[in-house]
Amino acid sequence: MFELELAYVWRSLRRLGVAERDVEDLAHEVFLAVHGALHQYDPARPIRPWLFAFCFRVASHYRRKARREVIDETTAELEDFSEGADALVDRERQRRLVLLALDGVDLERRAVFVLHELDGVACEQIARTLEIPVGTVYSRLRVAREEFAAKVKRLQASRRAS
Amino acid sequence: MTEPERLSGELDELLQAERDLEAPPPDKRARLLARLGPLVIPGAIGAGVGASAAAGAGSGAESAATGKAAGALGAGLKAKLVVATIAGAVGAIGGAATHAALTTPEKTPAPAVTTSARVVPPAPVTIPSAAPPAEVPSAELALPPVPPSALAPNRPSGTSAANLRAERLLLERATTALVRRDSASALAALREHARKFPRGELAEEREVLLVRALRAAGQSDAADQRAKDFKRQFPSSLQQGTLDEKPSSR
Repeated sequence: MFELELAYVWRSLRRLGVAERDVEDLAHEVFLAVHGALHQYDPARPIRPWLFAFCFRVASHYRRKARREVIDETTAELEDFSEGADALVDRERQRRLVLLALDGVDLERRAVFVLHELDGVACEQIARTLEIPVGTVYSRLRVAREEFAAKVKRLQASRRAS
Repeated sequence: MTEPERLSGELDELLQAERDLEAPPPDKRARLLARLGPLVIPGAIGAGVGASAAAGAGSGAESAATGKAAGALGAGLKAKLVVATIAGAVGAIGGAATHAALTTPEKTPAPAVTTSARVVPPAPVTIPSAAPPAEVPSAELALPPVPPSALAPNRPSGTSAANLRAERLLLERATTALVRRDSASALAALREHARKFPRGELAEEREVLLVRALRAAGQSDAADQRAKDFKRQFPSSLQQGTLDEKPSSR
């Protein structure tokens, strides 16, 4: 599980706004927590939403406790997408844009957006994963999409301007 | 309240780059696996995971004795948990299943987030070899017939890290394709896996994905037959219960 799911946990933490330099330690935290709760896992059920819930909690603590500078540094690190873009592989540039745009979405809405749009998890499942009503999932998803689209638009406009 | 409209095509395309992202850098992956390895071996089998994985724990201890950190997860244990992982990911496509234990994170306090926390002392880093996978005798994947002998639960020992990585990448490709509802690409990746690694470390995982892919492709009879064969070949698999799940729209 660790071998295959390491990539998923890694990606999820990044998508939830954890700085690249801290991902390894936080992924370690996630797997320790998962390990401690493994006996409660029902193997008949999908494991990724279950893992995501751990990632969300760890990332939430991290975002609350991280100094503002860390978050700003993360943003600065991603903003490379607009500088020297010609030298970057196109898909890598797109990825940076996505992560940067995700930073414009509130963490709770961001979790819903990531689970649905990137991991392909159904809204009903997300509701159970995050323990919120499905109507809340819908509304968070709707707002998150608007925020994400608006941020992408702004970033692309600023890039063109520069 | 109804589910919002799908994301616009342009934004959806933009997200594709992030969906396709593979793994963290190899050095970080190896370092983290090394940190986790010693933790996992002694008591990895929780009661809820079941006795079916017990055999895997044994082989895990044996592997640990070799000192190979990256391979320290017992092959049997890893394989069974990986099956859960893959099928879980695919199961998430339709959201058909409800995770009974999803409240776990609430019940299990997350450890304080301190980036310096270390429960397990870092072990020596073992970075998988960059050498290409060794040639494996090819065997065409028979779809739908399953040659039972090709699905022997006993895995060949000494599978190289490069082979395992190649296997994993193929299965991740199939998983990603299934998330995209591209059953043709998923089946192609799984056929490739079966051809290159007929008795590979992740053969069990491949069979689980194959059932999913066949169902997604509308080949219900073939999927049912495959699922039946799987249950016979892997009676202790953690994914027995998920093979009958029908895909649903997300």
